[in-house]
Amino acid sequence: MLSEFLDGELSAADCRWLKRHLRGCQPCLAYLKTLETTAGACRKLGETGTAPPELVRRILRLLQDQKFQGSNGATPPGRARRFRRVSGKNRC
Amino acid sequence: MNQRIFQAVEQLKAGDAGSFRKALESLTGTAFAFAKKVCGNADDAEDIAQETMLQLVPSVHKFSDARRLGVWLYKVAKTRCLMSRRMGKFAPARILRLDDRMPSPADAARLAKNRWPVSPEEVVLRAELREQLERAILKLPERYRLVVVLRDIEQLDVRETAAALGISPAAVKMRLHRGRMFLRNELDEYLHSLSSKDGRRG
Repeated sequence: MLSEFLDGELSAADCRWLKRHLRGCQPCLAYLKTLETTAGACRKLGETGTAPPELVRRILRLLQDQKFQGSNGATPPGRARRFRRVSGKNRC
Repeated sequence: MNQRIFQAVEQLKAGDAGSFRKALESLTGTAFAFAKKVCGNADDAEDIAQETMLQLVPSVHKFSDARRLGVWLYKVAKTRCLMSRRMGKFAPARILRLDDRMPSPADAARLAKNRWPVSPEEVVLRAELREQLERAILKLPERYRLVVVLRDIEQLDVRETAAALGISPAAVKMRLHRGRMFLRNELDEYLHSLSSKDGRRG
């Protein structure tokens, strides 16, 4: 119920009941605040994140290759792996 | 829904090569970030993002609606994440039972006094806390992790998350709440340990 309340998905009646309860229940209120902060911290994780430039270049090359071969868009099994970058741990 | 997907759809509508590249960067970034949070490994995430984009791009013109495109992207990426984890060396040795980490009624007294000494929102950009939260997300069983990543990180709504995962909206709500409770407890331990360290320093 607490997460639904935070997300604004609780019915009006349940919302009223919970608000009344929270006014007199310190443990629930404290818990709700920390739960809200946790969801907020997760949201901040989503604000970053870009694709490595080499990955984008590789995908563009593979898409060109597909087009050149007149592919209907399906990637043959194993094809993507054959064109993988050589990662640090595999590099000689 | 992630704003990058809305931008990508607008860029695709422009129809020129420069806009296409920008859209590809946005969508690849979305698939990569999602896969990294679900798999916890950048190498696997690159493979998943690549395979997702090669499957998505030839059909991308069929999606004029960003929400439908987003749901489809996450659905494909999710399937590839699960395949990768099941086959890969990063598959968990044992599945964590979430019930083991849930607060008991006996915790109520402690919770009444519980104030976090530091707000995770304020310090989430600190590398240490960020890593702590990402580690906690990876500890979640997959069914909970996928919901938390889609709802709280990628900002899909309940219906979009349900569609991407092929589960009911009620299951999304239940898993999200349990997942958040787990993460909250993990952060609780970490933030209090941080506070006692700071106290000793002061």
